[in-house]
Amino acid sequence: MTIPDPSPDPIENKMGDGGQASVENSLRSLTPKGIDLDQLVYRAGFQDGFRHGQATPINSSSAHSVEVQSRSRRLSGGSAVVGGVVGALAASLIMLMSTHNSRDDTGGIRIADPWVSADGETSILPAVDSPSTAESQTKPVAVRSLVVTDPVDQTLPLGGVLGTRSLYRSPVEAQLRSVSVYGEERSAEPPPPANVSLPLRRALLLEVERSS
Amino acid sequence: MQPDGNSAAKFEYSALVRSLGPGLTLLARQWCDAPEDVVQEAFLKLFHQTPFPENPRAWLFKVVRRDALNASRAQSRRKKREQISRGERVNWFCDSIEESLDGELVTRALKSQPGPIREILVLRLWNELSFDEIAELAGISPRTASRRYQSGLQAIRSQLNIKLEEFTRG
Repeated sequence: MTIPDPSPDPIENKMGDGGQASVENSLRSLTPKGIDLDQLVYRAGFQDGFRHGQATPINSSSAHSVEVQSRSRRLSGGSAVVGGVVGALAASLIMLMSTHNSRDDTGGIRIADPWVSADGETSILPAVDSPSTAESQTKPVAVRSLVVTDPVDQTLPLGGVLGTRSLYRSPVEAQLRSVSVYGEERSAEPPPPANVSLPLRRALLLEVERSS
Repeated sequence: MQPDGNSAAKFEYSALVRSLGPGLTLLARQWCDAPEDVVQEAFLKLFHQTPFPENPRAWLFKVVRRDALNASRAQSRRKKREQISRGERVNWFCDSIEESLDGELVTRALKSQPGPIREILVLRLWNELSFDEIAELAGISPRTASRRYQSGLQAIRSQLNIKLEEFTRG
């Protein structure tokens, strides 16, 4: 749209053409502060590429990240199931071992207690002065499979079958939780992500990556 | 330009955000205390528009101005009093050692102007709108827009109390 400006107002002559142009140029040289692109991306529902059920993650330009995110997504559901089964088996094994170790000399069964010191006395706390080697033989070790599933999997492993969505919150997202909208107090939950098309999200992400 | 378009559309989206974002933010800042929110909302609304506006630039200016005015009405008087009494240093512009003008000084000079004049200055100087476009947006005649712009520019210049030579770079 190229609409010619109206004829100069008489008041313009007071400043002189050259003076006005210089003032205008100097003022135009100042760059106004803009919006936070990261925040715009976040508000566009960009923070979780799978949240809205799109087929591919948002940063599909990187093949590696695609693979990692896809793997993470697969593991978030499958690892919970596997972890649950392994955990149940491990718990049964621990119970059996504790029962076996807690048999006294008479062959009677004593109530199993994970904190059995080397001298056979039970306590609710681990013995401080007991040798670590002996302690390690009697103290049950936490089953690692319940805690760690995969280094790239950022989901909570004990979320169960229902906890398939990533519960990981990036620092950027955490920081955005304190941002106000229209100057009012912000609610505890982040704003609902807008339903923005995937090409737009990709374009916005590229823009953010370029600016950073 | 459609939201689900090809790579050219993606480029236009990015270009829109990058080129219009700062100016729109400054425009919204003339009316409300949360200009970033207003501008972001406007961009999100634009992305949702179906059909997509033929002139997204004009559409954005209209929406940002309207939403900023609405936001300003929603602001409580108490909050305004607090901000005025604080007297904090405000800079609406990015810090840069290359600029010949101090952003805080210009901000103060702009804030001293009445809202309608300030708005026209912002639209003309930092958003490069023609007087016809400003007139249509603000609901005034092009001549009134031009007159307000000239008077505002002169007032800012005198308020800054800087000679013409000092404005020019180098």
